[in-house]
Amino acid sequence: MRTIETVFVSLTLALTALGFVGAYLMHFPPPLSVELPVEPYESAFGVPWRYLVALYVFLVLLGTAAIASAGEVLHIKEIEVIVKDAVVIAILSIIVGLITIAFDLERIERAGYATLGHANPTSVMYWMIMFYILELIFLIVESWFYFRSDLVKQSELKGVKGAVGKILSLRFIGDYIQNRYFTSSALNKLAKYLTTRDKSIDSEVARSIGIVALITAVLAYSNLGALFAASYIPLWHDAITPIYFVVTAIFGGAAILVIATIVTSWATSSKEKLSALPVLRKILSVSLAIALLFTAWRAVIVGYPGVNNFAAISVANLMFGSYALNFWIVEVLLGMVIPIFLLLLRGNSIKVLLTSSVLVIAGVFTYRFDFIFAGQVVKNISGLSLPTPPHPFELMFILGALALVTFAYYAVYKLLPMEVEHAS
Amino acid sequence: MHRREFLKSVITLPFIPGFRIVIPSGRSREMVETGPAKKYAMVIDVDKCIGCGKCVIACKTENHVPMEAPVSRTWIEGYLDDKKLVMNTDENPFLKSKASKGFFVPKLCNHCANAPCVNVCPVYARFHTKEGIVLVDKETCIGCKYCITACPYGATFVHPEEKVTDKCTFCYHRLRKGLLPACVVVCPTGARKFGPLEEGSEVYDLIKKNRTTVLKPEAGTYPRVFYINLDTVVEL
Repeated sequence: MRTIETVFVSLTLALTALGFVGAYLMHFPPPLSVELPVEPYESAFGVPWRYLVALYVFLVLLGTAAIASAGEVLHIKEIEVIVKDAVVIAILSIIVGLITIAFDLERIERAGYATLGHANPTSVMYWMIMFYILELIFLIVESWFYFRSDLVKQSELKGVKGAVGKILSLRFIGDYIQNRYFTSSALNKLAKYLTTRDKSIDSEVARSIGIVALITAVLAYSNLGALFAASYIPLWHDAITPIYFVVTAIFGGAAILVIATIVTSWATSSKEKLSALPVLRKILSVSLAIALLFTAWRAVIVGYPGVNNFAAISVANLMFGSYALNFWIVEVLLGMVIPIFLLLLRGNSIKVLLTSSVLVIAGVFTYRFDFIFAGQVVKNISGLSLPTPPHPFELMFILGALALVTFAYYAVYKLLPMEVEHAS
Repeated sequence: MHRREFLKSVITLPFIPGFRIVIPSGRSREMVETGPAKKYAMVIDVDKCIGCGKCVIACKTENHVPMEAPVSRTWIEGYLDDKKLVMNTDENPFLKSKASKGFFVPKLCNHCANAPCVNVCPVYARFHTKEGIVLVDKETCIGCKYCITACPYGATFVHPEEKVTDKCTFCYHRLRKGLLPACVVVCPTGARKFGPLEEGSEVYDLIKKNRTTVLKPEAGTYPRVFYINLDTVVEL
């Protein structure tokens, strides 16, 4: 076990470092390096949104936040045991997603312009940035209340974990107030709250913030869909896209939670979190079935003759052209149909559930890339080589970003009280 | 951007709100954005274009777009029957063709009255001047490329050296000095005409007396580039 852990940590850290090297080289390519692929795109060269945008969409649309908040708001007991994991994964994936999209900017040093100072409220992208930042803030506050009582307990330990507990629970502020003997009763109440465990208050507050976080999450997911739908790209341009994005976020989130629950239960030799699996299986099955229905009708509506010739071309390209293999085999068959059958027939088996979830993640990962590329390629003049392979630097970054999320999740497990017995 | 600036920006977390508060519009931008003025338009006679590419060279020279870069503020599309051709190939496809018709269509930013690029830009780096010309504020553009995907005409691109989006400005810097756009000046057949959309002007008369069309009218963008004798096949 110890050896596996060492290999895991070394590998994820090495890949993360590789990712940042890739990001740097993307912006400052060495003179003799292979140039980024040049493809004609009317007056421009290259498809403007490439692999980093697809990766960003994949990361920020892992809807674990919505599942966690919905579970808390609706008092689903089975979800409550994994609520910390769900919120942590959501926070990490959104942070790494935002880092990813920042590196996709041509002028990364101006990324701050998109938050304040240059706001354009008519831009869907501006609202996307706002919603994701708000969601991140709500999730961090929500998770603080989930963790607080356990952090207070952890602060009594010695060493790094104790220090982390003291800082993150804000107990050091409570201790400071108590040591100063302030006369203000409000301050003394605050000090008492910060230094003692009180799960009843924490749970109630977390639940209230969860409602806001849930609404913000749904707004953010659908807004991202609207960002694509509002473009002059026929494959993206329909009213289903925002709702479709919410559905894909939910099954993507459910699948990643199944994988995280099974892997962490195995790694920590604890079976308590496995009680969440039956509910996750239901969420996964239902959302996959809805997504399959959406996929079918979307193809019919967008590709129907007599509506928009460009749209028909893009759907034909996706279903029968360069992306047919990805679409039919990876996205539909492996990513949706087989998992639905597996979940319905043998979903009680942990191995089958894990296999289904891995297939779903592979499918949704491929879907994000196909959606981005197959949408844009219809605008090009000609000569675009399809499917466009990732540039080595892009590949380095993708591996690095995924490794960063994984390592950060591992680090959270090492430093924060993630155990079920501490959960509310 | 220098390496030091790049690293500094990465380290200082540019996504924190308020990390950098910038005054949205500079003095120069205010001057071109407000106030009544003549609205300008370009009229292109497709029958007169011979595909010589002088407009492309003049535009690149005038606007500092590297000649060797495969991007341009204006470009020419060639068509044989209903087939769109790439014009930067080594072979001239027109010489060997047995097609019944062939023609050239010069393209550029359409300076749409309802411009998608202005609407989608998250940092308001795109704006209309008082003359109705769509410009890019290069000091504000973050290079997110949303304008490239949003433009129905594929008329915008990332400048290979400046690393911000770039597009035709109707040579706004020349216009303010009373000069015509570079592409209009160099066109040997006079296929491109440019001027104010007011009664008595040349472009006004051309639009009034000829059957004109715009590209992709279904997009609802209200372009300010009009075409005479255009085969509708180019809308593909």
